[in-house]
Amino acid sequence: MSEMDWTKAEEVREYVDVEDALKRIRGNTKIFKALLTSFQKNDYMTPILNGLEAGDLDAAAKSVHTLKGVSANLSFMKLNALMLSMEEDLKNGIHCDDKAQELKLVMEKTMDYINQLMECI
Amino acid sequence: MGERMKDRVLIVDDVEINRIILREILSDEYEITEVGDGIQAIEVLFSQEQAPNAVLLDIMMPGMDGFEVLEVMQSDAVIRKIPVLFITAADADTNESRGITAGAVDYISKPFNPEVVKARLRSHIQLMKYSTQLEELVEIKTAEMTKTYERTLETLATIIEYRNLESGTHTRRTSELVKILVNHMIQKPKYKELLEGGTCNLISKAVALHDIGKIGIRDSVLLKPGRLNEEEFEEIKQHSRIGGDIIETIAKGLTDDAAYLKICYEICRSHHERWDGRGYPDGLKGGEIPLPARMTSIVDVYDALVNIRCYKPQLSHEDAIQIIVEGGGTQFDPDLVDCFLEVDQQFKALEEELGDD
Repeated sequence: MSEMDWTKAEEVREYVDVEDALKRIRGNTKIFKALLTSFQKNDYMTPILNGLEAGDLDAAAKSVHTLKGVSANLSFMKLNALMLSMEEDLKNGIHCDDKAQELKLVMEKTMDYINQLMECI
Repeated sequence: MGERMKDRVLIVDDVEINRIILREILSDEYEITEVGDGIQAIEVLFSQEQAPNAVLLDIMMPGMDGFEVLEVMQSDAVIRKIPVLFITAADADTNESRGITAGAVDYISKPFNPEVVKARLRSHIQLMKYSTQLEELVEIKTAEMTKTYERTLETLATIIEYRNLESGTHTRRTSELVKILVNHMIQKPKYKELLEGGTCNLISKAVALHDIGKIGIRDSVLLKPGRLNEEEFEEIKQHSRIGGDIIETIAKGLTDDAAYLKICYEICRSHHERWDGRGYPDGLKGGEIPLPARMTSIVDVYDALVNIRCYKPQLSHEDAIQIIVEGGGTQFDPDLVDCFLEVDQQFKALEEELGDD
């Protein structure tokens, strides 16, 4: 497990809280890998961005809701916090285009960490 | 110790990640089936031989969503009993309460907490099992009770027969005769609604009791050969009132099968009422006389006519018919007389089979 010690760093845990996520699945790293793979395969972001761009807040909210659940279950903390605030905005009819930009950045960073994780578990 | 059958859980969520996590949390304790959308969930629910013991159901899914799945489930008497726990991403949204209102028993929220998920699932499955067992037990016990007091009442009717030897199998025949009449009447729109459901069965059972009030009549009157004097006749007439009282006493404190006892009461008390209001004990007239009593009246008189009694000789079927037809509109409900005439050959056949020799 020593090669995974880097995941305990504060900065990393802000994006992917590995310890927290593993608790949910009884520490089963094989399952964790399958979960991360599933996340990599599915594009959860584009439907949100498309919805925002088209001004379709309902569609955007639905996609945000899905990613909110997924990020919560995988302990993607930053992503989850962002989804919570976007959901709040969308519910209040706020076109949170500024947050679309932030989403791209957070997603990129999260994916980075996922890629690294995939190599050491 | 042996392989205990695992309880079955159906997981419905369009997001694979959520399904994988739930499976990991639950696969030790449960046999898991998972599907990715509402349509498949319905297919599994309605096609599997063994329905799941519980369903974990996502609300927001493309295509058929969780609410729609629940609605379809509610439409089936068996499937609606399966406990459904909604999977939600807890928020200020009213999804949870809407889910509970729609028929879900509980919800679990993302991120999943394994201990909470397991505990909630376990308690709802257990609850469902207890309630199913209880329902089955109540059903069995109710059936037993019904049988017991039906037997008791039948026994009462038999006691009358033993005392009133001449009437022989009158009780059994009136039951069978009324069955013929009911089965015929139920085909007619006018009576269909009144007799549908179990009513038909109840009437034929209840008819067996029509004379139980005779238990309160003295032998010297009940068994007297030849004509009764006025005083004796007055005493005989008491049997319908007494019969009604007996049923009323039995019915007191019983809330089950009120329908059956009501029909028993109507028959016992009112089977000597006349269509023209000159009958007894209440002098009811026409439609005031309960339908089961009007039916019993015809059947009772017909059976008495074609069999020998201590106070009268036996008549032929044709002569009996003649008397009943003449009584239409005065003694009997003319409409029921018509019904009777439409099945009189069946009456005749039954008397030939079961009549006193």
